[in-house]
Amino acid sequence: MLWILFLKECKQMLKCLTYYVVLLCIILMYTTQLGTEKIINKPVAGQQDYGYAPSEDVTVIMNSTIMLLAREYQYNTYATYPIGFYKEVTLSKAKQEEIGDVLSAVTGIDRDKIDTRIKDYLEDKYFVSSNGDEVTYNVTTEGEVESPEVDDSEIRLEVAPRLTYEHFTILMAKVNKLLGGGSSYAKDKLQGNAYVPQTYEQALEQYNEIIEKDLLTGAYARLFCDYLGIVLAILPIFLAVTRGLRDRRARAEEIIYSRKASSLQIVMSRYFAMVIMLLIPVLMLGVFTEIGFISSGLKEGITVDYFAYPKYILAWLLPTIMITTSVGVFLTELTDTAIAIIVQGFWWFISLLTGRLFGNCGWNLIPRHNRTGYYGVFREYLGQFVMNRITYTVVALLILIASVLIYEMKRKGRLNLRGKIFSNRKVKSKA
Amino acid sequence: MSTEIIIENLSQYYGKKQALNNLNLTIGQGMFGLLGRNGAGKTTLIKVLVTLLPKTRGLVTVCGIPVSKEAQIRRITGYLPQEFSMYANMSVYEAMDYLGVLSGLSKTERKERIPMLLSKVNLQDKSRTKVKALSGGMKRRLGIAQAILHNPKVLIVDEPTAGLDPEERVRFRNLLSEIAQDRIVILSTHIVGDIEATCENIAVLDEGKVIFMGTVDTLTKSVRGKIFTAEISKTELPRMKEEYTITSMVTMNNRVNIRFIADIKPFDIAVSCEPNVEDAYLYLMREKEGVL
Repeated sequence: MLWILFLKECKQMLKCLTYYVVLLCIILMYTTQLGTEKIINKPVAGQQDYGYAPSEDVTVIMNSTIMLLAREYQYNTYATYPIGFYKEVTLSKAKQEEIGDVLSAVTGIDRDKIDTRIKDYLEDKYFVSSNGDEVTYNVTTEGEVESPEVDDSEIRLEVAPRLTYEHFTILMAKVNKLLGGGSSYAKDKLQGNAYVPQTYEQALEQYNEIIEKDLLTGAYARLFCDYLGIVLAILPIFLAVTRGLRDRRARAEEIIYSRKASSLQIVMSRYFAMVIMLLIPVLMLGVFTEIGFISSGLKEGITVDYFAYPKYILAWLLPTIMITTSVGVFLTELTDTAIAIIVQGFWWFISLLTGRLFGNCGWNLIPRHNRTGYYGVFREYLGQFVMNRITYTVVALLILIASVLIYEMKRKGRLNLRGKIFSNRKVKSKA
Repeated sequence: MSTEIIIENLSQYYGKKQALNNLNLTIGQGMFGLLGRNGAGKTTLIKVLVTLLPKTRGLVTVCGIPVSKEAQIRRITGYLPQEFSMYANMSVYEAMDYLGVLSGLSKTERKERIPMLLSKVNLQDKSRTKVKALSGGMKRRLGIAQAILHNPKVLIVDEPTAGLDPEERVRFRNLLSEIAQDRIVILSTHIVGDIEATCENIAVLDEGKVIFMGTVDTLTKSVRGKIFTAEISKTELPRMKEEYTITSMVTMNNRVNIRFIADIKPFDIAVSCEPNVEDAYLYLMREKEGVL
């Protein structure tokens, strides 16, 4: 019965508008962020550039961060993203002085001297007038405004010789706190301040890693999962809520409750229909993308991993779909409301906000690997990644079992949370 | 296997509110009417019988199976709730097929029974019609078809004729009578006409208690000699309404033909008449309220 019910649920989903809206969102994510990548070219010695990469060198990270801070400090205009959206922060005089003190501490230079050095540099480079509020730009012979070239290194603010990276991060955390959080000085954002040009050797090493370790397709499969993981951590909730509320909306609850089918069969068939009906288009999209890479790779004589996309999709995205769907099923069955959208929306937002774009995903719902390649880095945290995915899969199944129990209780008339909520509301409104 | 529903000392509570009070009933094969006002406890009793509510106290068995064994009860009962509907975008056939799967029917059984039942409820031409496009009467007939899809021993229908036009109502009642030939059918309603036309045995519920149980004939006989008709002037009507329970009246110009309840012949022009179920039901209710 479970199999037939599952097939019927899948068929029903094909008639559901929400399903197509969800598919559209997935396709939009794919077309806007992916789908145009070409296979990596082997770097050639003497190329004009080899791209940029975040520096691993803590001195470079510290110096770049200091330059960024000096610039923002000079104008008392700091860019932050406290809840994911841009916010320009202007500090009070007292807080500005505290930032100045931090700059002094990290560079080992007196605050007055820092102020003078930054001001002199900026006046020189940006042609700041003597009153400090008028900026003049060069105008070319064609009448175009020419932006001044900026080379922050000329300010010559560098990290104090004996300052450790740990101490630096503590001082930067203080700056981040003064700015209200979400700034470039948060511990996990510091590396992002230090993008440096890659050398030929670095580019070649990266290329070889993609070809030899990732067998080409693995690198792009991770990027695919990185982007689609974002939408798949929220979109299934809409399907789960729509399906969960459908019986009540259609006034078919009692008819279904009174049938022979067990609660396990009913809930499982619905759940797995949603999961599989989401997984199939994602797999299709993945395989479609992979075919392009396989074809290009074979033309170049590269050995490719034919199953990289399905493997990554099943290991990376399936747990995301499962946990999001199970949260939706559970909360909708429990409350008979759409509250799951709010709860999952909040979880999704926090996961995105606190997650790193690259590197160890920890226990985050949305693992990220927002770079092509870097297999070595991925290998470093693979253990944690696997633990993360297995845990979410197990939790999803546990939540599903809890949903079955709730469904069974509702079916026997032992649970009516919605009724209680709404009757309490009525009592309060009467009062 | 027993072919009776036995209810002994059933009490049901919603929090502190008592919905059923020490109910005792035995329901055998054929049509059984459950009559009572809205809120009398009919739907609560039905929900206990179809395992949608756990009983608070008492003993309830359906064909020998205690209602606590939900899975077994669900196999042998068919249920048409007061507000029946199905997924709007499903066709009639799809809805039946889906519910057939939920009832554990095999593909062969579904293929065989669905057309047969749609034909029985006169919906054979509507099998491809979406549920949302069905009229109220058609939906009710679909409701009956789905309720007997798995050939249950017990069929329970809750207020099935509410909102139906007279023609649909008659058709529906006949259909129920047909179905009741080889099973227990419980018809719960507050419409006395439905009971009168279909049921031999009935129970009247009021405030969670059974205030009458027996045959329709016994009920009507119990008020024999207490129902009268009289032709009065319109000006007398307010006084009559105050003094008696009027069960029906027909106005003709300035005169009104009334049918009313009285323990003894109240005045000369009053004529004793043969009571019907409605008269008997109203008598019972007024008696319960202490009006008589």
